[in-house]
Amino acid sequence: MRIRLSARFEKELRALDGVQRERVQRALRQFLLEPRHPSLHFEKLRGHEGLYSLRYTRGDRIFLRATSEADLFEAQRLGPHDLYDRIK
Amino acid sequence: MGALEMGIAGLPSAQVPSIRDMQAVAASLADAALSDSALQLRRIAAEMRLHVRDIERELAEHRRMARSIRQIVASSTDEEVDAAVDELLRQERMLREAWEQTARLCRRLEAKARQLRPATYPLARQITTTAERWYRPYLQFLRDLRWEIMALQTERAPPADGPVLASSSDVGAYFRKLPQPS
Repeated sequence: MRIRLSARFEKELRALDGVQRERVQRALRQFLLEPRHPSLHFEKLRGHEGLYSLRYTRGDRIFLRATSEADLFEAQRLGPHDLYDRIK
Repeated sequence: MGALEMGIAGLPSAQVPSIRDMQAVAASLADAALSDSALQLRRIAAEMRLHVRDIERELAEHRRMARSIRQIVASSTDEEVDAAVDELLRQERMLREAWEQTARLCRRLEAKARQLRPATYPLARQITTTAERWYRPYLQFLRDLRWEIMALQTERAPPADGPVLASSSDVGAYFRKLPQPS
């Protein structure tokens, strides 16, 4: 598996603090090793062909987009997914 | 001016009225926590039930408008979409804060009712469950709408042209080269 980074993703990554960056880094490493690892919650976004989400903290996700190459995904953006989840 | 600047799916760009209502009820709860008046608890419970009905109507209207979100995003610029996403996130954060404050007060009310006037405990519980019915669907709606908009924007994003990471060591090397967080 490979990941190509988008300009938006890189910009959003630079805006994160050190702890968050570390979590993104860990998630990307894990994804390259084992995309289906349960901690990543790697899943298709319903209603959006070729889009996937990858979890890097309980409430934050990376948006991945499939490409014409089966083993290559684009990391398009990242950010908070679920503020709701954090208060349950 | 694009559609998104006027408000995503009918959401005003300023404050969602329901959030203001929630903050007002949280203030009433704070007062109630200082007294043990069953009458006051009854009044708050009744007020909250009315708010829930208002919210259900408001949400139904937002959901109806959100059905055309694909078209709205398609006719908006990336800057407009980014502004709408930021605004929805801001509203989610405000709502979450109001919810956390309310949940804290509800717990205090319940504890006090249990300790001082057990007969009022069911009323205090009723307030908690009504508050939950109030906040959760709104937070979920804002979250789902924001997430949907982000997905629609990602669908049309140009192909990524940055570095390719193919191994754990690539990831490590990339992160080591990043400028330090400010």
